[in-house]
Amino acid sequence: MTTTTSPPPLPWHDETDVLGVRVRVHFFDPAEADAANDFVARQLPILRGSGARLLAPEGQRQAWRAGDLLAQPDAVLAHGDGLLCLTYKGGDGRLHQPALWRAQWRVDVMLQCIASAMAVAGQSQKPTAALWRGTNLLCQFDPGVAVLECLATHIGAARHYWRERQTVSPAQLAAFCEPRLRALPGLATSTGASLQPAD
Amino acid sequence: MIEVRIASEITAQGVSGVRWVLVEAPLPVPADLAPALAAAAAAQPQPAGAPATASTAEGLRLLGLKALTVCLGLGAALWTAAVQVGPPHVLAEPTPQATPRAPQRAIPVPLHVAPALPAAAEPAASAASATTDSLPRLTAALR
Repeated sequence: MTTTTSPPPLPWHDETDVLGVRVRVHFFDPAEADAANDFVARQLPILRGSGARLLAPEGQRQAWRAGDLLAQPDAVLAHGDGLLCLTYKGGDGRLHQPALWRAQWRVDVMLQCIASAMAVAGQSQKPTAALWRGTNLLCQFDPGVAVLECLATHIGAARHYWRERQTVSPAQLAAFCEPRLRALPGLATSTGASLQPAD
Repeated sequence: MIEVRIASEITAQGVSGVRWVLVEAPLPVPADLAPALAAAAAAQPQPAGAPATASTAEGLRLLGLKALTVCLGLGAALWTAAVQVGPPHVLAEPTPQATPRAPQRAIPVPLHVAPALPAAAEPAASAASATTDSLPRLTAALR
């Protein structure tokens, strides 16, 4: 595992550690975002005006495969020299309150997004960021070493567990790995400090 | 192995801060076995029939398990009956009580007239009742 230095990040409103994953969140006005014509401005408000572009037409889901892991994320965008793997159809559709978003958090959705990004990164051989867009917030996941290793090393076991002949989906892999991640010492109670209160 | 690189940060220009992990790749088919596997795959029925074949094999397996369970249960029941009642041939032998007999009439019993008993003495006058008067009555006295 290697970590390189990065340029100044985007202005996220809050961030914390959830089960070994650094989660950064950006809250936005859903009415304003949904009214935008541009896909990036609508689904990725924090990247409005950036050079991110869809790899496939909107609504067309491509299949990405890394080993026995097969994913069909909602959208994959090229962003600089890397990719953005975006999921925006998951979740329960409810609004997240800036002060209570940790309590409303769903770990299964987070792990599914990371698994989807792993499939995209494995097939494209490009660094890929995992993103999830909820009703009024955008999240970026920075999985730790333990989470990545757990997901990567349990693909075959998850496929056998779900009795799949060839491939396993991100949802199946996430459901298989979540209890194992919760059993790892130090991950279940990991909570980081907030950046700043959301507007 | 497949290298998977996950970006840890996003900037306005791109992604940065890469973490990588290795994912096990599917086992490659050896070159000398590839034609044989392709021929075997072609000889197999259509893909639509594959689930039916799998379900048939699964059904036979379940049927065998059911038959084994029924046989085990039946054997256990027979063994329990043999231990508690006896072997099956004991029940099959005719017993003296089981042999048919001619119906017998009941021997008439002569009627006897009970001798007249002396009139019962008053409970209060009997000596036995004197000892029981101190005990609580369990039934109401009929007067």
